[in-house]
Amino acid sequence: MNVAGAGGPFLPSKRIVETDLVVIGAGGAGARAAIEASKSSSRVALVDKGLFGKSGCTAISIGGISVAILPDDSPEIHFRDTVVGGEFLNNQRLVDVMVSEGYDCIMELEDFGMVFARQQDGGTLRLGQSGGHSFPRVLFEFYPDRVGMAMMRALRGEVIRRRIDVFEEVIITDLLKSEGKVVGALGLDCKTGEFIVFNSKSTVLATGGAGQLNGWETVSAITTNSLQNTGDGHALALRAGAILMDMEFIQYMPMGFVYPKIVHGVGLGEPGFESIVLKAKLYNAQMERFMKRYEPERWERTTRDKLTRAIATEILEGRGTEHGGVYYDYRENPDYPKDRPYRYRLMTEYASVDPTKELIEGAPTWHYFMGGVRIDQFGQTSLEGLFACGEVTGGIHGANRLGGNSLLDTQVFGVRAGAAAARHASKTKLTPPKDLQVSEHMKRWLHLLSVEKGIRPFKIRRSIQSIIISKVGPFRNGAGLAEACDELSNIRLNQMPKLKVAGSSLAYNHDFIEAVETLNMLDVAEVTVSAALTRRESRGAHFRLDFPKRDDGRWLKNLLVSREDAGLKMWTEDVVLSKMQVGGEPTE
Amino acid sequence: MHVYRFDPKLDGSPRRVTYLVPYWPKMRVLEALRVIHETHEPLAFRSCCRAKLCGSCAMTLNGEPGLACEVEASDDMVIEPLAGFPVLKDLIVDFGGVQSNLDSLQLQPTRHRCFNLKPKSISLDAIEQMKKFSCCVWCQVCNSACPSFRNAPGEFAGPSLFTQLARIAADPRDNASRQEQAHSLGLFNCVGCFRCEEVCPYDIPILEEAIERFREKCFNVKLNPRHTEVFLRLVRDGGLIDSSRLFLKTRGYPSISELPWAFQLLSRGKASILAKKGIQSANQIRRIFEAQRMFTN
Repeated sequence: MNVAGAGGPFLPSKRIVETDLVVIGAGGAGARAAIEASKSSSRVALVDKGLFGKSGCTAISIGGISVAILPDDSPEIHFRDTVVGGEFLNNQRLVDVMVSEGYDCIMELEDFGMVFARQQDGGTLRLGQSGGHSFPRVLFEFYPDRVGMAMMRALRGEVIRRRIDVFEEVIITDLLKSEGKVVGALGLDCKTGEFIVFNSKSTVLATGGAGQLNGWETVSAITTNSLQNTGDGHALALRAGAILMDMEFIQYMPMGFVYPKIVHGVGLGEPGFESIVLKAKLYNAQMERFMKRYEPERWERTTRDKLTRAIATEILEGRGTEHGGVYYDYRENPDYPKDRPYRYRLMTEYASVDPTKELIEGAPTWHYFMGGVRIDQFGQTSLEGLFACGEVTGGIHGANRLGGNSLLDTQVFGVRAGAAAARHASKTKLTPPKDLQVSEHMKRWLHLLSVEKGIRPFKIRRSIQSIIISKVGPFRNGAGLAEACDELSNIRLNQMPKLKVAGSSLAYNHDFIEAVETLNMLDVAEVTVSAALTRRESRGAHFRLDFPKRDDGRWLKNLLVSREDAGLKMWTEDVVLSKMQVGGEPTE
Repeated sequence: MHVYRFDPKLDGSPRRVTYLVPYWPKMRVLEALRVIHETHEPLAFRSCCRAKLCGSCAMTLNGEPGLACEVEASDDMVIEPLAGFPVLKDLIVDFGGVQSNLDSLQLQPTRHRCFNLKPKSISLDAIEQMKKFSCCVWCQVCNSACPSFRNAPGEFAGPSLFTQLARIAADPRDNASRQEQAHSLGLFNCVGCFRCEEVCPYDIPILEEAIERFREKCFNVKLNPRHTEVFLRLVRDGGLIDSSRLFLKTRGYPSISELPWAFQLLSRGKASILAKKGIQSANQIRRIFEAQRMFTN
């Protein structure tokens, strides 16, 4: 890797890193893509906004990975469950890749050092059941609710073993283009305050979701996501001119902590999974098992979108608990501390509740972004040189994601995008980005330091977050979404020009990071609100009070978005139904 | 709350700034830091998951290392960067040293073929052993509390390394000689004070199950250092620990460089040139050694 200094006359020094691939985001998908690309002897730069192995969502995942393993189960049935759960909005080519390559990709994790939980014989894997899956499919680590940390430990070990260059605490601010192709990215090294120009043949986006859009408590939005998940990749792609899709679909985890404030939104476990394995039940404040009214057959064992709406309805109609939630009852399971050691700690140490004796309150919390950058089955986006994998992509999970399919998606498409990006790099010559383009970006960011009477980023961010949580939650309506649209454009016109960064240097300047994130969040929020307003039906996680029915006649379509000079351009495209028609069975 | 502030680009030396922060029940330190950042002045600190999953926000709180997302805020609290690590800015420290130590250990199971499609059989006993260390979030709170690491990081790599090493050592798929690695990390320079276990946010039995087990394994393969051997011989011969002789015999001739220190000790009656007299029942102790066939020469 060539590293050269090249300072301009009026700009601070910048470092240039020339490489075959730059992978933006070092969670599950990014790390896996980097590993796969390095197998073909590509030079890879892996960029992480935080500390590698700790930041992003994979590291804090407490769920599991879904793979069809049982003798009666098959990738075909997994495919059908995923498409039915996604209400037929999934790109079936992508789902097919995910379910058929899943097992190999996941077993390679054991080679990297992970150990999945086993049965008594030591050789048969233990499986959990999650809502919407026909068979038990969820693999987890033997420390039962810390699968993500184990996965990142294994992936990190492999990245280090392969001597991949890791850039920790570097935030990517812009993608760089030359003649329509993506040729790298501009980033700020938070450690030194110096800009880095990554000049690459292929660029992979793996930045995860945007949970931080959902309101604000004391240190975080109300989400299961970590603080870094601010939709950075979605916004980078959008600004570079890539096509995004299904941006109206946001999955809420039906149950997350409601108090104390610091853990507001942290996941309590999916009721579908918890009711089967741990005999958990849901009650409202009147101690009624309300799910029987919403889902007379499956009760708690239904998909996340339906659970979320049922719980939200109970709370909105006044049957909520003291802290604004519903009750989770684990009392029938005396083994809870052993089954869920991490969450047991959280409940006792933070909420002062012993779930074996008392009820714990919970409410829906932002969990997953189904929408994202449009990719083909090789992780290729609509821009040459730009690839994407993981939560930043759209199309795999349709209108609602099933439990355990996300970690699976990060691994399968991490491998796919990493391999495709390496192939692309081997056929491409390194094109440097235009100096003018780089210095204009840098000037724009540095300008924020010199704004005198401006608004600090957290204030603008709060305005965006409160719009999203109040108007783009599990229940939406046209009037509210239209208001949200106006309010967001008001922020863009009147607040963003006043954005300022406190402090004198950019080294470990949290205000600067928040400024970049705020711009990204605004970009994503605008697209999400416009898409939600455009889709005049209810499907999966997108529920319109003014259009409460699914409308396959008009809306069995993906909603695509790109940004042009004139503003957002939005159009529909037929869903890829390559294997299974609505209501049908998968065909070969 | 009193917060340590230091910007190497602006400040010659660190300063301590006092902030007034509104309090609410169960408020955590991380929440207080956020309030300071927003209402007083920008502050540099790391955080990510806010629920002790990622271990990013370790710092020194009222002199004790802990996670800012876990420890409750209190009146007059002193908030400092995690002790034992170089400060980069305000409450952010550099983990580069422990990180490169960890990475040099190659903590992956040995691979025979490049890819194994069927999961290998692993006994539940092995899994139970791995489970003890699996919840380590690599927050470095234990290292910060460890006196050996704090005083001589070059001679003792820190408890957190041994936790990670113990997990892979318990993995039956791993054939690497982890006790040798443990030995080279300064295994025998742990003073056994249990501070690491006291402060660990996940109550991992670091000393009892990681460090002591490695010591046992090293001893069994004769990887024990001179200190342990001299220690045991002294006990065998006299039934007590004679610290002066322990020092001289362990160090050998180079102990001459510590002469000034020795004079100080002698003048204050803390050490003696004469060998200590053995205790009366030393015979019984010798018999224990003989029964164990240890140092019978």
